[in-house]
Amino acid sequence: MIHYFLCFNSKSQIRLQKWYSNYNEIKKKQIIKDVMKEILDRKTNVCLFFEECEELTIVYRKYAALYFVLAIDPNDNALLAMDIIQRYVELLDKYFKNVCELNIIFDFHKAYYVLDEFILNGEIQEYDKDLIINAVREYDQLQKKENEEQNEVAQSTSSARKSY
Amino acid sequence: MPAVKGDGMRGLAVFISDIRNCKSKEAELKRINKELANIRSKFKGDKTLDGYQKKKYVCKLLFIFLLGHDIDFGHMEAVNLLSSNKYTEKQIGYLFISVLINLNSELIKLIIQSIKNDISSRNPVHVNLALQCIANIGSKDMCEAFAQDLPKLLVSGDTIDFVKQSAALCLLKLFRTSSDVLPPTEYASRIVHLLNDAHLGVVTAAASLIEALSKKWPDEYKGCVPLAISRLSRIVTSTYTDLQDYTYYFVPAPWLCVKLLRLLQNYPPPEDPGNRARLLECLEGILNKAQDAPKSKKVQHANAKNAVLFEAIALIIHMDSEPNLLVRACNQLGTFLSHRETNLRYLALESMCLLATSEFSHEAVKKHQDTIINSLKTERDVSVRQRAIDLLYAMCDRSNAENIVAEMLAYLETADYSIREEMVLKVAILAEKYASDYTWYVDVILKLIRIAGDYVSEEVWYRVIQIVVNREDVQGYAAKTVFEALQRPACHENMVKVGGYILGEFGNLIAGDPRSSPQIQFELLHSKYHLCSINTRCLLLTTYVKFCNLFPEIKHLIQDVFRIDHNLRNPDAELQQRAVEYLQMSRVATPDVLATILEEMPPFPEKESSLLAKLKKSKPQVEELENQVAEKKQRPTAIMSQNHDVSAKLIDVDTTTSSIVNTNGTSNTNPLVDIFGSTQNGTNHANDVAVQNAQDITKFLFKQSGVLYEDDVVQIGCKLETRTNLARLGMFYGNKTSAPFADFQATVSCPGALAAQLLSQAKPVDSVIQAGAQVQQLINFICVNVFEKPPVAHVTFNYVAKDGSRQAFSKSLYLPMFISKFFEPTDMTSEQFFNRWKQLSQPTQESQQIFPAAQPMDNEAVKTKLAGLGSKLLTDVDPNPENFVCAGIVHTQTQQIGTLVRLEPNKQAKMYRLTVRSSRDILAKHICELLSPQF
Repeated sequence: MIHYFLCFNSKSQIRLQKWYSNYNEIKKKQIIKDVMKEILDRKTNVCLFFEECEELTIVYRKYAALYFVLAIDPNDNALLAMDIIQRYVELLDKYFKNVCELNIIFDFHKAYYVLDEFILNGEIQEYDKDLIINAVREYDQLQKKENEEQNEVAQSTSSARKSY
Repeated sequence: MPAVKGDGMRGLAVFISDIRNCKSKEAELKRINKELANIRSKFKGDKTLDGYQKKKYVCKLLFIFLLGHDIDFGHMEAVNLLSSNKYTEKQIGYLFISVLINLNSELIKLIIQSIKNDISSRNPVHVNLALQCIANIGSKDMCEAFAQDLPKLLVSGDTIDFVKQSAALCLLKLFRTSSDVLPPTEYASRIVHLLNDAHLGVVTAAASLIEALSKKWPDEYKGCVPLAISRLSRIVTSTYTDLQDYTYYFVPAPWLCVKLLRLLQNYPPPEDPGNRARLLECLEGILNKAQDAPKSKKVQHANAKNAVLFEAIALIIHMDSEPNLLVRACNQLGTFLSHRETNLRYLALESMCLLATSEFSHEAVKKHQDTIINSLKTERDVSVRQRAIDLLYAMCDRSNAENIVAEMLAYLETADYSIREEMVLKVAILAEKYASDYTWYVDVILKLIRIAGDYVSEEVWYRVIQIVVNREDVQGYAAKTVFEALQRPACHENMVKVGGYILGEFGNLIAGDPRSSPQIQFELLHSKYHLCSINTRCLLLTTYVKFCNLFPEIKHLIQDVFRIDHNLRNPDAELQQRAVEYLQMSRVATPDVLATILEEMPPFPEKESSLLAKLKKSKPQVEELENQVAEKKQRPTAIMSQNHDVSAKLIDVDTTTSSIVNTNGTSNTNPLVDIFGSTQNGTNHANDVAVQNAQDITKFLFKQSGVLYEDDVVQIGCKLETRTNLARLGMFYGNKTSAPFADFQATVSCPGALAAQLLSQAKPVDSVIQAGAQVQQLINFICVNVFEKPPVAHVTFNYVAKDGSRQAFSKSLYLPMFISKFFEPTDMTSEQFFNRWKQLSQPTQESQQIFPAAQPMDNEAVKTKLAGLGSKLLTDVDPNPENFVCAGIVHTQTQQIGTLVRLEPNKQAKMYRLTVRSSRDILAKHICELLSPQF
């Protein structure tokens, strides 16, 4: 099972965090700090997973300046966890069309929606790329529709104001 | 900057840009505080906000929180968004809540209400949002609220696929929070059949759920085994075009494969020949594919293929029944040992560690010894080197011990500081375990001290001294070697300690050589004295006073040392006391007295090497590994107990002489001799004579003292004290008649298998007990291994009955010794308890009994009993306050066994369910059997 997922850049700025096990806020901050330090201190060409003191295995991969990190049970399949990271990045890439860090900053909630469709409760829910992306796109359509309604209301109120 | 997507939250985008443009941390903080004040005033203001504004502000708060700042308001507004009928508002509301909500929040009731509404909505996307929220939070209140609906939703034919997937994982979350959420059997068959679902996404989610459920209820869910095998077989034999959407870089459904292989590891190998053959076919198929040419050069292809391969190997190791597959797995891993991917080398070493413990593949692993040693030398990543060390430790046996120990010693000189201490322990353990020649052992330990003195813990040098003291054949060599080591210019303080102790005991063995005459020995040690810490100096003073006895000719030199102010008036009380007392002793005591006081140390009682205990403490998985090793290979835990020829000084009880104590034997200063006392006496008693207190004895499960037997003639009481794997039982024999007992004898025997599991030694008692008097007898026990039957005491004496005739009394009694007496209580938090509980989830590690209450179900009475058991009765751990949970470690000489006990009363049904989990299966079963009749 995945215990938490983190995404941060090489300047130690946290971009995404998702906790599948219960940790309190103090503990979460501590973990983020420790994991960032450990990973940023690692040399290149070393193993992409390592054991943390909490008896979890940390698996990470770097894409451009962004690190994606998963914490899994020590007897979980670490190679598979790397595939999970890869698949998530592919999903983001497909959804945002050439994802970059700015997408994740400005549309952070979308990145979470994609994640929620892919991973739920620390387990894989669905890994068919098209199904996931279509689901998120469907929400966007809903939203667009709702926004249009909103705009109509806004316009009608503003035109109502104008008529005064 | 990418175009802001069409969600129209311009305010949010502007705010994020502002933050990004901040030049400094201070500026950023200022901007955030300004925004927080703004949002707070909006939320508090008189103007009612519309849904869009709420959504925007809640989203901003979320962003601020994710930057790492604390957010303490806005929860109510987020909860309000849940009841919006606009999807995006709902979605943001749920996102905020799942990231930021506190489990104990008062809002949880409102949230649950909203979720309830959404789950019963006809719009599947709303249902899905609500389910995701449950999966994200999964509090206890949610378990109660949704325990009814979720399983139905999951197995209903009307539910659409993606809702089913969410429902499965949601249920899993609630099950992890509280296992009562689902009845064991009601839905089992229908949940298991989800493995047959046409939609692979549903199968994947269901496999995760079943994997967890089958750990808890292996019997109820065993139907999943054939289904999992057939599903696996269909995937493995498919080509990558069959499962197009679920193929990942030319590997068909790797995630599902791994999940299924993992699920099968919860069960023993299938017994049904058809299933078994099919499973073996799958495993062979996976091994075959590993050798095919890659279908893609992309790293993802190799990665996914190997993920499946490693999981298949894990299953092969778990089954441990197919020599052919084990050897093939080992060869496959061998090719990874020199692979250019660091990850693969790491994993290969890790899996091989397990293969090394299987009797079928141990030899195959040894073929790769050179490669493994090479990776110790050339590997760049310390974590990989660490795995190489673990593997060398696991694959070590008598044939390669010398080579492996030598390589590890060589590596130790350049090893990373972080792993040195553990390496020292491992080298010391291997050297002891596989030493056929103890001079080699002594050499290895002294070399350890020389090259890594700072990392040699007390346990290591205590142990070498214990072994040297207990083994006559190595004492002279040890004395000579430490003497030489001390002559080197640089000498670690630990070496001085070992040297001081050994020369003090056995310096006489080398004193004949003029190069190591008494005076030279003394001067050599004393030249280090001033460089050492107080503790070491204390030890050296004892060595000196022992020299007074060994070498009377240098007594005056030694007395001079005691006498100098620096010792005699040292501010350290211990050192000063030693100097004063030793000086006085050397002055006044006659040589005879001195020789008695300063006699050579008696042999140390043999027990499990404390090194192993220390290693286990630092690495919990070692314990399990050791257990596997013990079970599979029956390797000796320490070689010392095998050598009978020199056993005169060891507690090396062979089965025929075990534990028979002749209480009439003359008392001897060396208590160990008692064990070998008389062998002819009463060996056969135990099985012939009916035991008097077979029924009563179990009441001593929960108490340490009481009356064991009483009639008109005699009262026999007992009082037990235990510490780790040692126990001392005080027996009290009270004469209730008006005439003395004659020919009184009390012996202890450990019949049958018990002889090897529990060592006993009874102190002799007088053969006469005066009228009305009570005498005490001490019996010492050493728990070597898990035992099931209590030992038996035989009490015989002659007494004068009321009518004046002489009568003989001869009875056998069980003694109140149970394996549970060796419990050491362990305090745990709820989280630790359930983590540990989950770790012990193999079917063999659990023993469970459901039984009707034999006694009134009084909480306090149960508590008192469990508190007396010896393990720690944990409060506030179990989510259900009615349940009782205990945790403890059972200490035996060979291992320490973590054991958890959980007793769940069901007052309506007047039943109990007792579950015991333990890292040793027979212990769980035995404790379960002991306890279940007691409630």
